[in-house]
Amino acid sequence: MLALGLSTILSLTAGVASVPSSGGIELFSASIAGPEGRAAAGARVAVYAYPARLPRGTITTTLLAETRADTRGNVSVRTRDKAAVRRAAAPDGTVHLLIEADGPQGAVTLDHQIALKTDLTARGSTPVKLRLSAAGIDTAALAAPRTSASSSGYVSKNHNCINGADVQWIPQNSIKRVDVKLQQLMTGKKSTVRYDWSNSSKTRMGVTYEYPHAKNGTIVKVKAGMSHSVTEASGVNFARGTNRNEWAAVDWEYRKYKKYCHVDTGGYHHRFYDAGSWQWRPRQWTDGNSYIPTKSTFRCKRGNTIGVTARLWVSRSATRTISGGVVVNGLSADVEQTNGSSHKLTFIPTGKKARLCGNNGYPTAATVVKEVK
Amino acid sequence: VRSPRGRRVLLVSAAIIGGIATVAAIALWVLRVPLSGGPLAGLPAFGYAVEQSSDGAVTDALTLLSVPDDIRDPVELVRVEQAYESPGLEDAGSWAAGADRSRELAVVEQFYRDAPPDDPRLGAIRPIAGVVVPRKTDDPFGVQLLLASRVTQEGRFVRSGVWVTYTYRTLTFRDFIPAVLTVCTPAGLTNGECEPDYGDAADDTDGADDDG
Repeated sequence: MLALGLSTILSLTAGVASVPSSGGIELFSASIAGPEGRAAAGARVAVYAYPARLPRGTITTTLLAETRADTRGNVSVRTRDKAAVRRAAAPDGTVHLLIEADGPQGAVTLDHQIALKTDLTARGSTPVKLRLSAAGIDTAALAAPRTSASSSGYVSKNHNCINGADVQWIPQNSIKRVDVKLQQLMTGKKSTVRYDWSNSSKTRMGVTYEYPHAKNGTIVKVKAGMSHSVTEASGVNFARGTNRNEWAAVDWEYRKYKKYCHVDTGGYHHRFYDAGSWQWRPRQWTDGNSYIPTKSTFRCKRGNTIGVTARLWVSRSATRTISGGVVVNGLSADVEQTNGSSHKLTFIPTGKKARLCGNNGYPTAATVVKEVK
Repeated sequence: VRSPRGRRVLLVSAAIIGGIATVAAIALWVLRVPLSGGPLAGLPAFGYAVEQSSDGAVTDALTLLSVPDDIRDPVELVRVEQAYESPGLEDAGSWAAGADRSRELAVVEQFYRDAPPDDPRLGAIRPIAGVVVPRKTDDPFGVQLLLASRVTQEGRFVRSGVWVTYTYRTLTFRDFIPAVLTVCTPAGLTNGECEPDYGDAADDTDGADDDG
């Protein structure tokens, strides 16, 4: 009881301490650097919220905040629009953001995920590092004053919508089916393995971005963070036999979206203009799955190796970022898989004692587990 | 900008809250009420299932303790308590494998069918109280717990984990390790198998955060 009282008091004082010194909710802090790595003083930042549940058609991302970095390139992004934040938050407090930043050195756009508490304060977010890129960006135009909202003939110079209202993503007819790697299954002679995977927000996939190079018009492709995806309550029970080293993968549909900036020109006048860029983002799981052979492995330490004779489930709560886990339109992007109660990696000894080892600790807690001789 | 009265109220409130927190902290220290969230907290769940007859014992030997590298000092164990979900399993004792245990593997045998287990590779097994759990960097093999349960009924029974009480510097902590053990007697098998429990009750809330 006393402990409960103390924890209540501590959480109360923590709550008092977390009230921002200036108005609004702090979404995250960021440091912005130019392509050469130096601080991008005064860089502009705009942050938009994706809908908590992505629609099948046009996706509208709502402007939450616009601000500028200080002379050292640091910025604290806050919003006063609590209602919009609440609308955008998933039941667990996750909010998916679109971040746009630009300065005379270049621009950057990416998807970013934050987790909020019920009082909308951020949960242990680490500062976001943004690196502006001049590739494909008309930096001369960027440095000049932006076209005013009241003029006609909107031409995007940097593919960002800063100074706008919302960003809209219009689905295109281009669709690609790709393999998304989820979990590495590594068995030897003495065990088989099962991986029960559920299609949930525990699986996040890379978003990629395309725009024409400002000088020569060639298409520039960049990774642009990770996305949530449209999910349904279903899953796959992967099962493999002995002597395997394969990725359990699911077949995902990626769709191309064209980016439009929405500008409120006052009164009843609204204007949309083509930002001149596209995004490839995961749209839905096709219900398909596959196994992809790999030679990737790791060295085992005896201190991280155990002997098992009864089937053992492990790697619960482990999060693994799989670099190059998905290839979208010729560009490798990352996949992040967090295991939970609906993701079970189970090793089943085949009668004899099997030895299991973890890549970064005991197999009961490691990110990747394999059977060894 | 707050008025002087507003500032006074805030200061007084802060002083009262701080005072209460200090008194409560001192009381906790004096009464030795264990805290949660210590250096051994947050271990992920794992588990397995074992068949055993209704008068037999199972000693789980798979729980390894080590202090994470970002913690500066080792911890000292006070006691462990097995958390049973239902009758059918009884605590039959807890020990730590000896400091001289085999270094062939971190765990040589996943479980034993006697209590305490008789295996020279475990070294000189010792009582839990007073065992020092090293930092992982100082000893990658850590401390191996030996957690014995006796089966008292026919059926399928679950131990959802282990409560570990320990001291770190001057503080006492009590944290839960979700080491899930399922024991089935022949009457508790499903299609000839002992179906492992996945500890979902004590797990995270990932069922609620699905987008779909």
